[in-house]
Amino acid sequence: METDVLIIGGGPAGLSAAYETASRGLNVTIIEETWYLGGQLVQQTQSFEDMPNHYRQLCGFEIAENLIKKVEPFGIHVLTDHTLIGLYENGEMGISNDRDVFPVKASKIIMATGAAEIAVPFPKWTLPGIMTAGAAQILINRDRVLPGTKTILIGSSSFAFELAKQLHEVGIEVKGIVEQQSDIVLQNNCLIDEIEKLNIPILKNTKVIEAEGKGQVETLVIESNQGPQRIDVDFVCLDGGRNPILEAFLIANCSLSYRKILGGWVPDYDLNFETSSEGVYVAGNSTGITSKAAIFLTGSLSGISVCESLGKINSTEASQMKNLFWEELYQVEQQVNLEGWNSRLKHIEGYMGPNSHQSLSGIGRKING
Amino acid sequence: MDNTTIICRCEEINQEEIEEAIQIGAETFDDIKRLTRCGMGPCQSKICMNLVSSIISEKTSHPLSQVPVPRLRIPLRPIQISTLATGSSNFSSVKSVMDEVELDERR
Amino acid sequence: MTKVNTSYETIIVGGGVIGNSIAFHLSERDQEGILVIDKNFPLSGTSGSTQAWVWVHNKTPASYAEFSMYSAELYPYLSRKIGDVEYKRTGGLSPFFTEKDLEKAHKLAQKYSELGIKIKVLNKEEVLAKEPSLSPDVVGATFSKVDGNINPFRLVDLLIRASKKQGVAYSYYNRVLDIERTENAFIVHTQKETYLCKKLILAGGAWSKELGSYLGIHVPVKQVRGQIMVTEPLAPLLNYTISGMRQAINGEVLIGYSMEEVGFDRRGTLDVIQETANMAIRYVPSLANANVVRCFSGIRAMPKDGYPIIGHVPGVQNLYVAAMHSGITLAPLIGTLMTELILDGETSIPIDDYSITRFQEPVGQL
Repeated sequence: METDVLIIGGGPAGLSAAYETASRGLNVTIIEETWYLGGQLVQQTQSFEDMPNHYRQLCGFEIAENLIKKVEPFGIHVLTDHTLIGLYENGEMGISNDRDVFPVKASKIIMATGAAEIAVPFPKWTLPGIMTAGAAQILINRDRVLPGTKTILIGSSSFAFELAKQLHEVGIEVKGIVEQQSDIVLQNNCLIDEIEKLNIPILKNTKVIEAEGKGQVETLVIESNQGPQRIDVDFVCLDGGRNPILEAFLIANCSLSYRKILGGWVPDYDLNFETSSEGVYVAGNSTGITSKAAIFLTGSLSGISVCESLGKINSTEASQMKNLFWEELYQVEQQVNLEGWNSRLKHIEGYMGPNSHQSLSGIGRKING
Repeated sequence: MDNTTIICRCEEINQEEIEEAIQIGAETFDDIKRLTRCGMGPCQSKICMNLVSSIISEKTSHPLSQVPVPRLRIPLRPIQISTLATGSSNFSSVKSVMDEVELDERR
Repeated sequence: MTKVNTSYETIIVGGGVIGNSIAFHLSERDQEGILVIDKNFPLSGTSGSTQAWVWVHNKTPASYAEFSMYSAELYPYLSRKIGDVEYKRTGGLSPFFTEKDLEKAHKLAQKYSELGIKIKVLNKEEVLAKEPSLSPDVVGATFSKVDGNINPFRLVDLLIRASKKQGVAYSYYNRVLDIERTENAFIVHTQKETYLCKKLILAGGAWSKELGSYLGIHVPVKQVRGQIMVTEPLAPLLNYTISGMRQAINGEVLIGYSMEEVGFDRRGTLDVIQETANMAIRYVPSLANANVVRCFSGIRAMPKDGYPIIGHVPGVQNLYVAAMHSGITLAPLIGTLMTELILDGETSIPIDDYSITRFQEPVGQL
């Protein structure tokens, strides 16, 4: 199979990249390992303040519907239930749909593989009923299945708080949000207030001792300075943070660098989001996890870069477009995650050399007056 | 966390086994994997990679940036042999032992 | 800054199965002051990426099969000394699918019998009776009782543990950068330290050429990539070690017998894996339904003529080399013979055929 642009991952980043490339006349193929487009947005019933402007009023699944509609007119070749499984000697990607394996020859590849959740180990964390926060969200919002009736959340990012709200809304008793440190990770006071109003205890300085149960979790033992406490639960949600999914990049022999703030190991990329492997671009959370906006905007940026390098857009227009997207990203991230923005620039600089992102330095200045 | 905590669920490798490998000099995920089978199961280290890296970093005092990611193995997902197969019986790099038998004594 | 001049009696460069077998057997005879250096970590190279057959039959000439057989015979003893390396003498089957190979098999059996190595040539019915999962397309197979397999991870790990108990020192993640010769010693410059030693053993496997070059010695070993696929654990399926695949104790089936000359590139490619899948189904049709969980590839050492390069390096006092393709099969024997050579000056089984001198290329330059 041949295509101009192969996009790996049909989530928000892949769809954003698909829009920019397909709308400019490129032949675009998306491979997606699930049976639907939209990625994690599909089960997100919450809205996000760190979204690009025009998405801020919408909740996750509405944004997904929006994006899918937006790309629809351009005849994108969508291969759901397909995964990347390896590489051929000649550099072509090997794709499989569980019946067959075939090579795809693409002029450019955009990898939008997203992020994976990190588990939180403690004694007997492998008991059935103990799941990641994302898994619990998929169950209630996508599959419409209640994972249980009483739960506790381990970890305190905004995701844990959002999930606590959603679990409460569907009638599950949330017995607490547990954080081992003295401060919770989330910094949004509104959300904290909301959780407190729902009488969900926020348990700081509390560690998990172990889980207990016969064949499935029945009790979670936690300990704070007031001593140990046994919580009666029938499922537990783990929020251990997320990291970029790297396999596709390793297959393509892309170099990586470690950036704690971006989520751990991240593929190296330049200002065009091209990796160290020529013709392979990166988009979305696999560029580093900074804000929801970054997922969409890095998708658009990589898409524009690909159009530019395939001659579908001239360099003046490309650079205007790119500046707009970078600026929008800065606007969002200076509010919600300036540290993430800075780390991304440092990451690009680490790969391209000093002053490599000078062309972006105007962006902050313009805004700050 | 106690030492019996399972770190690799696929192969049921606990923290103690990982620490023992580190104690005899393992510095990377792959070092530990070959000594313990940690990460060799169906998920191919998708779940335990971060957990193991944290333990290595903690025990060796190497920053996480010096704990490399595991070597990648294809296929990225479990796949049936029949799916991989192309039906061809022309082998180029795959050999048969009998092909290598040389009956003329050369030496 | 490198620390200077720690002295050892013997330094073994290379912590794979061969280096460690030599270290174990040498230290077993109370040899003191042994250091094993590895550029990486044990099992990170060839010894940790093999199907680990202990394979005798089909090797030609017959004298090489005989040599391999002696090594296979030593495994039960080695296991008793260092612990359970999961050595299983399953017997080995080499199935074939053409009448031409049948003829070849008969000739091979004849040659072997002259040296007292027993192999049987089985016809189709006999093969299928022994190994019912093999394809009914099979024409026949050679069979040898002495073949089998081991767990290479356990083998290397246990050799190291036993050697350490016997006083052997180890230094990992310590690449050799250069080696100098003085009148009666070697100076080994490494990433971490500079060492002095009387005797030096190069056991670098696929990396032997580079090690030899530090001393101006040409060790003609090239690299061959082999790719192997591993299935999910399956119910017992294979009774024997088959040339091309084996079933491990945990039920996983390891499949593959590929060779590519691509230097040190260790990436896996779908081209070879798909070919391996074709081979798997051709041999054992029911494997079609098995899931592959992972594939691995290894860089194997391949001496120029395919045969081991072992022994003293003529012209350089106290320099020894041990580099070969079939390290797993030969490890117990090589450890034993190298120890005899180093401590007694002669070996109980002749190794002249495997001397580096056979390449007739200039060796020592000093």
